[in-house]
Amino acid sequence: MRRDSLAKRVFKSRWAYLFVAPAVIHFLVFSAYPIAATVYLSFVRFNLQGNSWIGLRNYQIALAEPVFWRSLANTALYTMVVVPVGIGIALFLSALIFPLRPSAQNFYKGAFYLPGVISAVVVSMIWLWMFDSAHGLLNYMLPTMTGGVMKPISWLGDAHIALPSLMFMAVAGGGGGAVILYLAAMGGIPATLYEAARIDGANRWTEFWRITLPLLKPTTLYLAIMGTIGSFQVFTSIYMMTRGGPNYATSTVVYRIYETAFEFLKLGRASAMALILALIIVGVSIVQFKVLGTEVEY
Amino acid sequence: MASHSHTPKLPHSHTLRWPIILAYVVLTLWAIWALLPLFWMLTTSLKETRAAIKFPPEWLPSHPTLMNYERLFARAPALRWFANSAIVAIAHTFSMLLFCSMAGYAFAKKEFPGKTAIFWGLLSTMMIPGMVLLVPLFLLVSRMGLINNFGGLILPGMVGAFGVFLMKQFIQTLPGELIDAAKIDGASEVGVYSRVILPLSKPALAVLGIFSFMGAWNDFLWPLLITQSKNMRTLAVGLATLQQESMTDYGLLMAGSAVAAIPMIIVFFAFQKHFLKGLTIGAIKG
Amino acid sequence: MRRILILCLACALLAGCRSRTSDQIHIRWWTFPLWSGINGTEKDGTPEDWPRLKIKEFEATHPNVKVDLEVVTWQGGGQKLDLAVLSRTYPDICYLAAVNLKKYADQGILEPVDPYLTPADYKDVYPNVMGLCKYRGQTYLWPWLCNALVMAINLDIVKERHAESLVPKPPERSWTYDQFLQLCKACTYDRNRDGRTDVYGYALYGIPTTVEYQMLTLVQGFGGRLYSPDGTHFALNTPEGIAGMQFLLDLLDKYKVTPPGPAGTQISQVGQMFMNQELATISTSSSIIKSIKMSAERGDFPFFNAAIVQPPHLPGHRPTSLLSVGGYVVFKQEDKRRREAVMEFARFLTNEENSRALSVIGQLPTRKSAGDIYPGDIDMHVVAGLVPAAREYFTAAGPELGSVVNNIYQQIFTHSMTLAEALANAEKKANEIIAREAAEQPWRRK
Repeated sequence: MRRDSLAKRVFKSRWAYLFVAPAVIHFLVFSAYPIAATVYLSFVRFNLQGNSWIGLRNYQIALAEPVFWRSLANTALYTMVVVPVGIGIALFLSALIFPLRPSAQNFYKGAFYLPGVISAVVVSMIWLWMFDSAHGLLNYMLPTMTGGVMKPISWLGDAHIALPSLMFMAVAGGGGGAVILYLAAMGGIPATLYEAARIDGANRWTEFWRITLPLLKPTTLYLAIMGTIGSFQVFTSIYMMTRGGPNYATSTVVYRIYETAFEFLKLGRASAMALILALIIVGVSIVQFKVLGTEVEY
Repeated sequence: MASHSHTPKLPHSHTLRWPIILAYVVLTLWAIWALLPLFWMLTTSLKETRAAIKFPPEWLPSHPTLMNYERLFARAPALRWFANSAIVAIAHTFSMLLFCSMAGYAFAKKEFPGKTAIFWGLLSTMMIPGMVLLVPLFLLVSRMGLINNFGGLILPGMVGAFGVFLMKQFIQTLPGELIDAAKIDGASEVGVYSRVILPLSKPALAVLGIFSFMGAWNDFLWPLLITQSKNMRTLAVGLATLQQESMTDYGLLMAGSAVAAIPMIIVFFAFQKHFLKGLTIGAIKG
Repeated sequence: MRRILILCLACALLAGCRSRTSDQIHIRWWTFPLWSGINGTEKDGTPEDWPRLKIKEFEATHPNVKVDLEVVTWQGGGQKLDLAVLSRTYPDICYLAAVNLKKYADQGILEPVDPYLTPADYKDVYPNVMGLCKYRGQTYLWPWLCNALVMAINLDIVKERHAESLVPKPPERSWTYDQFLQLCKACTYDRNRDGRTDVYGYALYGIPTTVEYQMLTLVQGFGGRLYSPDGTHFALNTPEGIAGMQFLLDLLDKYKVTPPGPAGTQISQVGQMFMNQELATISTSSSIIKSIKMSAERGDFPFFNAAIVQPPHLPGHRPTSLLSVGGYVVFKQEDKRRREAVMEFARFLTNEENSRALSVIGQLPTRKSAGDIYPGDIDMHVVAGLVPAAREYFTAAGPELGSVVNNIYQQIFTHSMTLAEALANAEKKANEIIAREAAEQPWRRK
């Protein structure tokens, strides 16, 4: 059958456009201009007395800075550990919770969700206390529980341990949101599928691997994309706890962007750095979509 | 379609006892670990600052005091801040639930020219670090006259790409036959949306609602930048104004956090009760 | 026809009326919470009380001026100001510390204050203080408070260790590096006998605030400078600078009088340790005594006796100290009338009487005419004595250079670089930045 003309297709889809209209309008008003402005700013040397066009110079400076590459490496490493481990843990916990009685489910759901109600700033402060070399909880527990075998660790003061400490903090935070999401998605899988599989002789493992996991792909994709976007832009914990130190060991790209924009007031260079990061995130997301994005419908 | 798990998916058989027990053990240990910071926050809110940073740390306050809570409510229009946060969070949640489900439905179940481009356009807004977008956004918002009022607090965040994405992923999994069946029964486009898609998306809506509410409630940076008068501040920002010197007032900070956490706990349990339990949907395929 | 004329007349009258009421000048004033209540002691005082009082006083004598106040939080407040600057929505007058001058002056948005200063003003303020208020020859800051970096000693700890003899004597409270070291060694011990050292002599930190003064005070006593007097190059990589930094490193590695792992310690944590009586000495400013008292009254920390002493010096040399200055900047105004009004307000806020109000927080006034606001107070006199000769922290340094300096500490405290390497590396980076700035000349645009 010959394809309809563009105009006809647009008209046929008018309801679709209506449904996306609020989101698109909001985007055009509140996102389009700032993004366009950022692109423009990335090509100028910013100064309130007058911006001067310097073409790709901001990009050159940013890419020539060893600190930028270090920050990028840190950010990538952080993401590559935190996202898969976080999703894995959430999946594991959800699989454990799901078969339980509803009252138990609710209890654990609540237990894993509750830590998320504390604001990121306060969480950082609490962990700052936990990591404190002299007075922190961890350095108190470690020697006490191992009978003095383990010495206090300089969690945030050692350049090799600082970033892993922050990763630990991110992963150990309970993963409540992801658990809730997985449980909601698991609830949507029809029991008929499991019954049919059991009739065919599947055991629990097979059920999990062949039915549950694949059907959770949309949720996993969502968590992977959102987790990646979030981890690539990690900032609050760095700002509150280490300021990028010691010696750039925990410096992340967004922290450098913050410093460049708000402490040095070099908005042009910061915009260039932001766009470089955005391109990388887009690239990674596209790959994730390819791998995890197959349509699932049942 | 399935009923939500009132009945366990697996038969109870004695050979499965020990995995269940193991599950409980693991979950309980992990829950204790996860709740540790919350517990610490609550107990610290009942301590004086010097007790808060004592070493070795004391698990339960030796001299519990309500002093921090008193200071919180005495010195500040905390009630007003609370109300502001509530208004902003509720409005934000409502608009997110409505507009994200609309857009998510369209992306999940409809085909239209430009679909991929529009979707990636929306998604890309999340991928540019908000830090640099702040300046032009602030400039724009100030030109629109939205500084220091509810408009400025609510409008810029009304639709979030992450919500659209979430709803799309979930609605995608709903069988297309349901929509066809409804249309055959004579339902309009709006009818399909409100009577088929929305009810079936309740779990996702509940999750989105919880996330949106939490995000708006705890948002610190944007409300800080956009509010200028004491009465317009949200709770998160108002609490920060009580920190005076460079040294952290731990007791007060934790008390403020505790107070701020209560509505979110209420919201969580409210949403959970309504949407995640006892959902029965008539099956199509029998 | 007549109706049109009447309409025109009405419009003209209205326009005339409007211009009369638009005689009112609105000044937007941003400040940080410096103290609560009017005297700092009121139980339910808020940081807005004193500023509002000042507004009332000023508006009473200037009926055509209205002042809008915003008290910006410490947390995120700097960011808010930066955002206002970047988006051109900055206020008319704002409290600022002198070290931040370059950042804003380079954007060309600060109003030069020199035309509004009289010879009497110049006589009233010490030249080094005035110098910090200038950037590239122009004055941008109305000086209000100043402070010299000193050290504080926890006298109760000293008493516990029977080390009273090591405390420098009034009125000068001066001592040498050896004496400082002795005190630190004496006061580093295991208080509760659990096998871990609980109390230390001094604390190093690797995460300073944007501008690092306090450890630097110890370093500069050896004769080193951060930058050359004309600001064209980094000057810490000299024998004197190296000696100073080596002293800091020795505190950590050789004498072990400071807590381990300083690279991850924030300067606020150091302050907390001192307030919690886990440090015998600390580099700080004069406001510490007031802070101790106020904390005790609020019940945050128990009270302890403290004394302010000079930074240690090399035998035969005078002590050096670093100067910090705070005051008000005026942002660029479109017309003369507004500018005069805002400058008037700035002058009012920094006059004698309002300088005397600084006694609430233990800061020193920049105006000599304010007199001695701490009569009989030995501690404050120690600080005041150091002000005239205190060294200006190089205003033209700017935050990018500050970040280079901060990194030196992190590199040497984590032992990822030797002292020589770290200083050489910092010198290279700092000079690069200075050269780049000189080439770009952001201060000169129009």
